[in-house]
This record gives sequence, structure tokens and C-alpha cells, in this order.
Amino acid sequence: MAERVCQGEFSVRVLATDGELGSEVQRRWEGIMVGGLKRKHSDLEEEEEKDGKWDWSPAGLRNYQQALLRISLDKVQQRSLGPRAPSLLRHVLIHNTLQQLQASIHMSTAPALPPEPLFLGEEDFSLSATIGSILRELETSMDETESPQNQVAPTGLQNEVLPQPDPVFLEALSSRYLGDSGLDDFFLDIDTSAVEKEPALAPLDPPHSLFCAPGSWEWNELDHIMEIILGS
Amino acid sequence: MKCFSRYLPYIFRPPNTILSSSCYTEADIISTVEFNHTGELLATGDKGGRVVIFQREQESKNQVHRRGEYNVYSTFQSHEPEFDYLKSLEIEEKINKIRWLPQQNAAYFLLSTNDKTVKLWKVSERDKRPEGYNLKDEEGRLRDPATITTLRVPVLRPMDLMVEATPRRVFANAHTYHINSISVNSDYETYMSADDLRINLWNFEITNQSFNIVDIKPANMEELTEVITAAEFHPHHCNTFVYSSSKGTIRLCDMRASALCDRHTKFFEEPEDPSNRSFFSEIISSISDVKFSHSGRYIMTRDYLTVKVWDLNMENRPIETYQVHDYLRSKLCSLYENDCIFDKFECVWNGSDSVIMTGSYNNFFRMFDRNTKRDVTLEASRENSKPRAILKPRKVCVGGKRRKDEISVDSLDFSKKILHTAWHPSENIIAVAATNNLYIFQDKVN
Repeated sequence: MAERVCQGEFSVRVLATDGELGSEVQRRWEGIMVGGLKRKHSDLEEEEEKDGKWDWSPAGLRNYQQALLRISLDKVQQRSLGPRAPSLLRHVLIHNTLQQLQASIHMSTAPALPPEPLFLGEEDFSLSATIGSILRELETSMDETESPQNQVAPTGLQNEVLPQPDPVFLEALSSRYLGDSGLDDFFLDIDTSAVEKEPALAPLDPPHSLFCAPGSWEWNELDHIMEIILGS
Repeated sequence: MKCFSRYLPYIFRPPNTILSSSCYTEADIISTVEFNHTGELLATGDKGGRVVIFQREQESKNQVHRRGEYNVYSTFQSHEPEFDYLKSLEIEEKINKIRWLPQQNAAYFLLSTNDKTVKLWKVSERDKRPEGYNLKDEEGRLRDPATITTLRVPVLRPMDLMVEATPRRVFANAHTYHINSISVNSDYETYMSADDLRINLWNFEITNQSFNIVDIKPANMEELTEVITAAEFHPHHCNTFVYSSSKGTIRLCDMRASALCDRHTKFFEEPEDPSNRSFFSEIISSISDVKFSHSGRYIMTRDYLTVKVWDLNMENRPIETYQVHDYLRSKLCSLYENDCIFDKFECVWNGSDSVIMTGSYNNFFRMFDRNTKRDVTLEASRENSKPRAILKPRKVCVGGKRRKDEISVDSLDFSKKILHTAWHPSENIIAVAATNNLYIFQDKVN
């Protein structure tokens, strides 16, 4: 972020369809230096600017929601990459925005779904659980400890085995390490063909539950990830 | 509306700093600015944990029209970066806030805080030193008493003025979350520190304990939807304070009501305008700063797009709302993506509570006259200012044909943000922090 601030430049990747399912147009523009370069508008912002309100076609709205969803999830993942404690304010605001997006996506996609409450419930649970697990992970990292902060810290502490990982936490962790393909599982009921950039990976069974059973594919993946963590 | 001239352009950073924003280190970014109670001193804190104090020079009788300039008075390292080994997290040394204590003797006292630790600093002058002490040799070692035949009483002799800053108290280990505010109570014996979820009350003399007076942490962190963003004591009533939240609400609490002020005495919230609803409504309603007026009758809040003035006696809506940069409303999506939507702007009252000021992007800052309802946009930049020049009002063009001096919204530089400003307590002198530069403006002397 500091680098971006210094250069006075920002960019937004916007995904918008040009009307055909499966095709996408990607626009990008650069923010501005004092030199006065004009910024190119994206379709998304032009839509937004027209009346600042929600008067769009269902397809346009869905694309907007999906773009926002992706941006929000990127932000949630970004925060754990720095050495400093994340900002709780920022996290809570993004979380609340995600909740709104989730509710709105439900409302806009519900008619297209087969009437399978369980399926919907799972998607519900997936997204909530992701958000919940992220918050819980945040709490773990910011947990209250009575011990003073800059006192004796046994050097062995950093090499010790981590406490037994919480399965929901691992699920969120795995999505981070597996890349975008992990996220797809959370949005099974959303038609993501418009936003997919890469061919889907070899078909993975959607998790039947978020709690990984030993011996399942998730368990093996997560086991592998834990080895990486402990090894580093 | 008074014209503000750059009568004495004080650029804080050394002259070899180039104007381009890419040529400074991140440690130089100013993170807080505060005048003391008389306006004689101006303190700045930066991301590198340093505090620099400016002092206004005495006005000379020969040049009555020349206002006192601010010169560097003291510089010290307040906070250092720390590492929390248990959580494997760095603790930033950035100074989040500085608050002065009222002066009670020759020394000056201020509180400075980073994310975790508050420190009380004493800034004092030394202009004499003892000389003639003969019990130690030149290298400071005690001499053999057998060699000493006379007892000499040291005499104080004048020396060059030295200003020294010493940490008198360190208030640590009381905040799990990031401290966003500190506020000195009007009793001058206590102060409060607020983080995202808790507010603690301290006595200046006691560093190993504090009282928790607000705690909004839910039992289950997954249920967390709101955090504390700012807090301040009432300027006259030592039992009253307010705190603002990320949902755009303000709570006023009375410490006499109970030890834990989780139940507010007053709750200020404006109902949402349904025509402006968007996914970003909540984010832009998050209050980034709250300030009591000097009179104590009003509070001012800053959210992403507006400044609001509230009457303490009316909780259901603000009495005044000022648009800071409403042209950004249609840009919220990209401002969300590049994180600018999370920028925390501060706001300040002038000494008589008749004018309020806050910052914006492109090194613009805005002033609103509450009486005349007029407002002005000014710019803090070296390029546009010559010595003794009057700051020219700026205008952002929102659409249609751009006039000659206007700037279009698309040309705004979002990396140049004015988050921190301060107003002298009694005169029209303002301090504006533009990234790594400090500008001090005074009003035009007629």
C-alpha cells in the first residue's frame, strides 16, 4: 500500500460482460498524478455514476456484486500477509460488506436455483463459515494474554508445533493456499462462468461438510499444508 | 471569510526533500498534529515514532505586524518498533495521537501513543549548568577523598539553551487492540485511552493499572460487527465522554452512572437516507473522528464524505451537515478497491467554534463557516504557494465543462491526502499535515 501511495496510482480491475455469457471484458484504468492525465472510465464506474443508485439490469447487478465479492475476498486474504496486526476496523467493515453482498446475491440468484434448501443452506454456511473462521482466526491472533509483550520469549516457541488446528480455520487457510480454485467451492450455486479466468482444475468433490474427516481429500491437502507451515 | 495567506511558509522537512511524493521515507509521514492549550507549542508525530515540537517565537515589539514564526523546539524519539513474540506480530512505532496537558509549571507535558503504549513526556528547558564540582575528575570518576583538600560548592552558570524530553510515565500492556484515541480529562488527573473494543481510564500517577470503562467486545468474536473509532472527554465535565463507532453512531457516557459505561446516557444516530443506500453505506458512515466544541455544547463528527455537527441535546439527527467531497460518492467502488475508503480524516474546530476544518484528497482541505454557511477549499502545496501569497480557493469540477482553474475529479491525486490538521486555540493559525510536510498558515494581517 505504501508503494501505491507514493506513486499516486491505483488501478481497479473490473469485470464486465459485453452481453454474452461466458465472455468478459476486462478494463483497467490508472489513477492520477498531479500531471493531470485523464483517467479512462470503466463500464462499472459509468454505471455507478449514472445515478449512483441501483437501477441496473439483473445481469449488470450480478456482475457488480461478483466483482465486489472478489475484491472483498481479496482484501480479507491480503490482510494476513503482513507482519503487523491487521486493522480490526477495516476487517469488520469488509466483513459487514461481505454479509450484505451475500444477502444480496441470495436475493438476486434465488429464483434461478433448483428448490433445494439444503444446497442453499450449505452455500450460506460456507460463506458465513469462511467469514466466521476469519474472524475467529483474527481473535486467535489478537488474543488477550496477560504476559508482558517484550519480556522473555523462549526462542523455542517459534519452532514449536502449532496447537491443534481448528478445522474451519484450516478450510479458510486452504482456500488461501490453493488459490482461487478453493474459493469456487463456496459459491457453487452462483454461475461463475462469466468470471472464471482459468480453466477449472481437475474436478474436485465439493466438501460434504466443512469439517474435514481424516483420510478425505481435504485432510490430505491440509496435512500437506501443515507440513509446509511447520517446515518453514 | 478570512483569507489565509501563507505568511510564513513553514515546511517541516529538510530542504532536500523533493516535491514528488515518492521521494520521502514512510517514516517521515506525519501521523498527528496538535497545538498545546496556549498555542505556543505545536507538536507533530510521525510514522517513525518521532515527535517534533515547534515553538512560536516571541513577537517583537519592533515588528508588530509580523506574527511569531514557529521554530523547531525539540525533537525526540517517542516510540520504537516492537515485536510481540507470542503473537508473531510487529507493533508499529507510528504515533497515533498526541495530547498536551495544560501547563502547570515551567515544563511542558504531553501524552503520545502508538497502537499499544501511551507515554507521558516531560519537555523542559535547561539553560544553566553546575560548574566547580570537584569531587569527580575530568572523566567522571570519583576522586580519592585523600586528595581532596577543599570543598567547592558548584555554581550555576548559564549555558546554551537545551531542551530535553524525558519519558516520565509509560502506560503499557492495557490494550489488546489498537489504540485510536487518547483524551486528557478536565480534572487534569486522569485521561482515557481507547482501542477498537475498549476504553480505559488512567491516573497520570499510576502506570500499572487502569480502569476499564467501556468494553464492547462480544463473547463470540464472530458476532463482532461494530468497533470504537474515536473517543474524547467533555472539555468541562470530567464525568462525561463520548465515543464514536464504525456504524456512524456516537454514545455519550456519564461515569457517575456506573463503573462500566457500557450503557450510554445518550445515543446519537442519524437515520439513513434510503435514496443514498449502497453496499458502501456502512463503510462511509464509519466515524473517523469526534471532537467536542470548545464550549462543550456540540460535538463534531467526520465520516468519509461529510462533517456533522450535533447538539448534545438532540440525539436523533445532527444540526448541521457539511459535504466535504460529495463528488466521490460515485467513485466509491474504486475507492473501496484501492483502500482509500478506509482513510481516516480528522476534523477540528477553530477557537470560537464558528469555523470547522477538515482534510480531503489532492492536498485539499476544507473550511466551513457555521454562521455564514460559506465554505472554501484550499490546497497545501509548495507548487501553488509563493511567500506572502494568499491561498487561492480551489474548486473541483464535477461534470460538464471544466473552467480554467478547476480540477476535474478524475485528476485528483488520491495519494495526497490531508488527514491531520490543527487549529490554534485562539488565533487564526492552522497547521496542515500533507503526507511528510507540515504547512502552517496564518490569516492575512491587514
